[in-house]
Amino acid sequence: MAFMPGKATTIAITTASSTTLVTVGQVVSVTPPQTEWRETEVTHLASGVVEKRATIQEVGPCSFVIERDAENVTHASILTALSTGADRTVRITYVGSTGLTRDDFAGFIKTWTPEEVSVGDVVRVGVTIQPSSGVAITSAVT
Amino acid sequence: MSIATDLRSYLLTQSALTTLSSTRMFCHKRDQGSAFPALVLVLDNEEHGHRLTAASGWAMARVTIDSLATTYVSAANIAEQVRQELSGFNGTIGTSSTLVTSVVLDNRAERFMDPIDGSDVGVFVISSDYMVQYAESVPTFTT
Repeated sequence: MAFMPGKATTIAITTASSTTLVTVGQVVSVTPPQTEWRETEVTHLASGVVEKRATIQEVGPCSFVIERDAENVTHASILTALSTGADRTVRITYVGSTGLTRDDFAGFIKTWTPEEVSVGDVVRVGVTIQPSSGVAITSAVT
Repeated sequence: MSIATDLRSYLLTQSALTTLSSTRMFCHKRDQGSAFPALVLVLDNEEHGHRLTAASGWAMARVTIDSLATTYVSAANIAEQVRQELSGFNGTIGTSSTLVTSVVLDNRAERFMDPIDGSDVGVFVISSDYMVQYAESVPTFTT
């Protein structure tokens, strides 16, 4: 398989009482954290082009959407994390071309954003995790 | 089974409706030569929920229910009684005990089908589109 399908991608988060990663249930979609270098311009009189240098990495938020279930313990765990703002360990696991790949980072639950509730649809909630660390991207974990 | 057959099973148990149309409720097409008035239920399209790991277990179907009669008043009365039985409904229906979580009357249209024999006896049709959300089993696989 020369591609990574979206199906079977999971996001797991530790709970308040344990360091064991627990897979979040009923996830519809995941947007992994984005990493980019901030830059500073160092152009000088002898420069032939505008010169820039990387300064520090910035990691953007990770977001995912769940089909809400009030009885789902992993959803309750997210709400607990939201109320405390404490860091949790997060792992996104993909199904890769040569095995599993994953993103590991620490972060806090930043937003809990319910979508519009309407007749004939199901209740969905968007969750955002702000990483407080860099993202460790591991390929071909077997 | 489909949600249309489950809806048909449910409607067949509603005496206020069967008083008007008897048990002439069909799926997809009316039996040739059958009497009027009658109902025809057609599943127009169906959306199914999915998550990253598996099916969600819910579906949203658009079901058109045609109320057919040789007089406009009869067709209108039947369409209205169907609305009384379905619009806003939630509950368990059908022989497979399908859990219906919502029914919304989305659209209604009227037309007249001209007779094919040159007479003046055509059929009045009132088409009502219902959006039906229901629970379905999540498939499991053996490989």
